[in-house]
Amino acid sequence: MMEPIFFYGFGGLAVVTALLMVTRVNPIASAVWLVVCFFAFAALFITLEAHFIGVIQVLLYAGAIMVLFIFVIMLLNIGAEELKARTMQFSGLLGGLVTIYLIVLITLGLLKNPVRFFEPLTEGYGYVAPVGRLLFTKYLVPFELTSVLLLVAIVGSVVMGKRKL
Amino acid sequence: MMQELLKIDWLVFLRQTLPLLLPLGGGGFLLLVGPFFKRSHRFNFIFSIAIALLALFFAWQEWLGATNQTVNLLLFDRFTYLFAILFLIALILTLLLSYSYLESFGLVRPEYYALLLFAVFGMMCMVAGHDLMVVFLGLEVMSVSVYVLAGFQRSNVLSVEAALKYFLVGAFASSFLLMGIAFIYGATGTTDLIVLHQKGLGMLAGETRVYALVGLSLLAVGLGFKIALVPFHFWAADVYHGAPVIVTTFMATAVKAAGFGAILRVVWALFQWEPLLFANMIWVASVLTMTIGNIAALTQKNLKRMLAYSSIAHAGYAILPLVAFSKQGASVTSSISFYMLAYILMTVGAFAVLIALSEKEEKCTIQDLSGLGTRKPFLAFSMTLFLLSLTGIPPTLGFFGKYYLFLQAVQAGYIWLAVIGVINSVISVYYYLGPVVAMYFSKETADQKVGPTYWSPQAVLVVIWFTFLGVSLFGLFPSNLLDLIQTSVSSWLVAGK
Repeated sequence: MMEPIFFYGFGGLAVVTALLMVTRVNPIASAVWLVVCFFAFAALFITLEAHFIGVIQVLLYAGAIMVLFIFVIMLLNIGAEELKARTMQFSGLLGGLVTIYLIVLITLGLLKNPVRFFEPLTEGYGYVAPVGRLLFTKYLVPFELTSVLLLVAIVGSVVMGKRKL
Repeated sequence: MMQELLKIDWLVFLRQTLPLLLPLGGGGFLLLVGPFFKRSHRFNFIFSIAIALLALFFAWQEWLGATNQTVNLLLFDRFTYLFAILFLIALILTLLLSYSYLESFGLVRPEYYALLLFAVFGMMCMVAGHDLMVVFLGLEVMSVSVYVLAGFQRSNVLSVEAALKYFLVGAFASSFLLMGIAFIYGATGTTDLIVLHQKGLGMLAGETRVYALVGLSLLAVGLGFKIALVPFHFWAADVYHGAPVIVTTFMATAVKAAGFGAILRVVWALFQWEPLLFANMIWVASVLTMTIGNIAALTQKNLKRMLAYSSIAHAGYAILPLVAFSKQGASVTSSISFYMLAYILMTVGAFAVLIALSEKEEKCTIQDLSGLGTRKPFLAFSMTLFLLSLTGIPPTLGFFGKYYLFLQAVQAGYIWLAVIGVINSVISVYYYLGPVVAMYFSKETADQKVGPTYWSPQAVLVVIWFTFLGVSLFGLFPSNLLDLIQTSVSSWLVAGK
């Protein structure tokens, strides 16, 4: 069986890259590790037979949102002095403690109440074709509404942001 | 799946959604064609008015022949069209107020009209959707449009501040709402309001109960933000104050009515799972909202700010009958819908008077009104009527609106709650009568005597006349209006069972 190997392999990759992302001093390096983490996530989704979400993960998070992050980081242009302080901040300590607390909480929760398995979905539920079919039949109205929402957001940002209208 | 699609009669669907599609298509058309008519403000204005009137006509037609059909996650019953009509009335009144205001403040742009139309489209989706997803997306379309409209006067720092504040707080509230929907989906496996209504009680038992409760509270927080209930009201005063007064008019009326429409749908589907818990939540929120809104309004010198706090207080009055929802759902829903109509008419009227006084700069302080009774008797008289109606003094529409609200609470045995409501109305007399005293009894200041050139454009006067007649005539004969609303509501509440 190859599936568990892929699952745990990409799962481990996701954890390691997430840690690397948090610990890097250079924000650009952090961002690049985050991209790798997103790719590992996408692979996880694909091993779970959610192909559509896997593809969207790569397109949206690894593609669009990360490019935006990197743009912002470059525009902010953080110097070396500001980066130094980042390792020894109180907020960092607090964040670390909260993370450890959450990890302990989840492990204890899993140990106490064994996970109740949901019924397995039908074969090919998360493939691209069934998801697309749902989007264009049952969920046609929400789907089209989303496009209206995006249009409104674009118009809004032009109205607010354009120097001369 | 394909068969399901073929089963839908698309021509009928088109006819049913026409009141929704017209503002959407009209907004898109304005965006496409507006740039070519940049000089022609009149074209954009007349086109939007025509679209709104056409949509109003079709909404009325559909109201007459409503079938309670659910197609593509949209529910076409009389309640939907009733609220569509409310939004379109508010839209038409706002459009009429906007024309001269935009000209004199140099804000003439086709995007203004397009965003207003899009916002109304979103509101209709909020009320028409019988799936939480559609409700949420409709709410977002509305909110995003209104964020931008609040900051439409970009040269004014206050307006931009209002837009940013509204955007940040609103986005935060939306995330609460979305999280709540996710929890409810996790607990019940569906986001369909009708399904949730039908098997709601069974879902709340068992091990998913806690998730359902978390979902309900997050949903309540998200919706509470949108209609500015205490303690989620902090954005309202600054946003209403900073936004251009025409946008404030739209926010205080249409946006609030849309929030209540969605709340009624959601309450009907979800909150009867725990009637007692829900009633407790409602009365606490209602008492807090009324009291804090009224007390904060007491000290305001700026009428826009005062009306903002008063709109918070009115949201408190309007959610009050929800305590009785599980006992007498139909009459509670119709009392709230009736109040929304009354509130739209009187608030638009009050703002219209302020707009009639504002040329070049907004004149919204109480001093600006001093001596209005002798200079502009009609404006002063109608302002007095609107303020009395907001207070709830008979024989105005506001009185009957409030009367039906409190009646529901009394009938359900919450007499003390109605008493608190009445005490709050008495408090509100103080600040509503402040401007009236200024208009009739205080002397004009020197510079007002020099140049009292109030310009009062035609369209604004039309709005004042319309709301004036609405508030006074329906105040004398409210029963027909109430019948109409009760018919629309009862068909919906029966249909779900």
